[in-house]
Amino acid sequence: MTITNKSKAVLNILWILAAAAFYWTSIPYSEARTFDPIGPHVFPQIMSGVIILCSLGNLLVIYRHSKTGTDTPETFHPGDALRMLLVLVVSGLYIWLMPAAGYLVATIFLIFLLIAVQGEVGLRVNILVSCGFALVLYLLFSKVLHILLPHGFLEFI
Amino acid sequence: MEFLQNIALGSSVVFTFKGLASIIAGVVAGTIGGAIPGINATMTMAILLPFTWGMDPTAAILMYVGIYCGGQYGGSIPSVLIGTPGTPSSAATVMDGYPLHLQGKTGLALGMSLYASVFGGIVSSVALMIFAIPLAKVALAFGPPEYFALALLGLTLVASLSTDVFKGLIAAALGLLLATIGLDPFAGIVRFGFGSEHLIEGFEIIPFYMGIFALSQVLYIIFKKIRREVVEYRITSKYPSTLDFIRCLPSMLMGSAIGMFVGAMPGAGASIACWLGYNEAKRWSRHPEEFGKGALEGVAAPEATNNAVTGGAMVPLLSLGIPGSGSTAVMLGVLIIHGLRPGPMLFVTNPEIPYSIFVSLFVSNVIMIFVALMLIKLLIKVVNIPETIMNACILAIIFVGAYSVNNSMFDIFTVLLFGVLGLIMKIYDYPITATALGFVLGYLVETNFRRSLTLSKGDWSVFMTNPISMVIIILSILSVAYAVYCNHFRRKRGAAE
Repeated sequence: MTITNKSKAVLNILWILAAAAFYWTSIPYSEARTFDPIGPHVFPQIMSGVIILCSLGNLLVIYRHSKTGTDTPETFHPGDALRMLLVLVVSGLYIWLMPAAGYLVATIFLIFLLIAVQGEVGLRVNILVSCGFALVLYLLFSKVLHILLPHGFLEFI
Repeated sequence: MEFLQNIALGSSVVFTFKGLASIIAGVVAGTIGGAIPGINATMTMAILLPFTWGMDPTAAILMYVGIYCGGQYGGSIPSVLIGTPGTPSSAATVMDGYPLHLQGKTGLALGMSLYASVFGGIVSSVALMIFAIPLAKVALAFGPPEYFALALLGLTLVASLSTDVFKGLIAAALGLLLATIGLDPFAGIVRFGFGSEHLIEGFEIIPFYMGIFALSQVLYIIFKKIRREVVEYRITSKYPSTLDFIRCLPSMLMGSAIGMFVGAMPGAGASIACWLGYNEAKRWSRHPEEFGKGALEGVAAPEATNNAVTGGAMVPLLSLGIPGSGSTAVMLGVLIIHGLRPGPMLFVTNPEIPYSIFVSLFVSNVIMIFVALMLIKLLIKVVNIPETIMNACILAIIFVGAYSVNNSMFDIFTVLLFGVLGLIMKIYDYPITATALGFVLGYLVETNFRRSLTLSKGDWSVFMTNPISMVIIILSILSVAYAVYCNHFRRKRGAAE
């Protein structure tokens, strides 16, 4: 898989859309009562303008490059991208699981799945590391730093 | 007299059990972080942010000074032992450090990198005291237009020094835009809150930094499948002698001066400075032909340079409250979450903070000698932990650490959001440091911008009628214009080739 000029152009269009959304959202703020002469909407609008202008500049450069054929795509392995996406999915699952299952169970699952997704480590080492490190983190945050971690269904701990 | 009294005050904070323990913990953590390829001092700082939550501000900042120093040195260990720099700032050390290791002179290379790092760090701590205090005194007279202009210059320099000025400006403006989310400081309305109670105060600094610096880097390591070699360590030669040290002294002095100067410039950083130090040492050497083949000066110069950057980078942070690099931006974040704002007023209201930083920068470098000599075998064992396990454990620390800030799942979501944003920016070569600087400076930039216009009753020429702000704004415009010109010239030459 490659990072081409087309994907770079898509990213710049996304910047423009995001900045335009910020600009649009800030318009009603001009009606807020404030003692400064410019109000709360001007600064975000200037920043949105900078992003839009620079993204247009980038698009122009990309367009000229595609005409001269100087596109030098960067390559990456699809397997690694998939692995990275799985890591993100597991991280999303963690957010969903932690309130219900509690810190300890959710973190053991998180570390176990993260190691399993990346591969190259045996099951026994994986179980040992995920249980051991989750416990170390629990003791560190809960007992040393006195952070209240969610217990979930293990409320008796 | 007042200076000595303040140094004594700073020393009284540093030379306590808590102060020294914080520095030692920081140096050890920084050295480990720096020694692991793919992880740098900034990422180590971001990962450890939640641990500072329960610490008092001085202990937290002392630990961060230790991490900063240790991180710069730690990068040299894999540079010498496996020929892969642990951090970008140790890239130049590979040139002669690795050939020395292959020649069986590992101890000589590692020893010289340690001594040069300590030398550069100590020189920069002295220079920090010399430059930061007078600059802070000058900055006391600054008003809102000057502060706005200074923060703008810092951001435009970081943007201009990135590979593409448009990308740099987008990254910086994005950071400033993200900083506007939450309660408006003048009107009291919530901007871009989208009805979420979590966004009333805007995004928290800790999850933001953990996402953009730490999570994005772990995801990038997985995405790019960055693999580390196993580091083998055995002393195969003696450590450098006094004669070796004296022979390398001119290179170290030159490196220290370059590191101090480049470090004080926003956006330049240790990764550029180390190559400048290396090239100058080669240019002035009596035996330039030995460089690249195992010259001891080729290890001493870049290592003195990258550690001298620490003191230089702290000059604008402490005296003006404006960070110029990712690491100092995180340090600014540490001070902000503890209710402190670096800048000239800090020298007046909390002199124990800047003066303890001066003393701790000196002490961290001295402690680094003992940490490196005593713990090197242990450090290498940690460095050799397989990357799959290391990545999973770092991710767990990041998520639990983010949760611990407010006991809120929203902070983990924030980490994920900015982690993905940082990853996309890394893949497409956008400077995330500019976004981080924009985010942390956003409040300062906007409030001083609006205060200036309030003072001038809405007259926008206030920035150009004030001589200091006018000069600084012209410098900002010139830095962007020069970068645009250079980019255009580079593209034209690339197309011609």
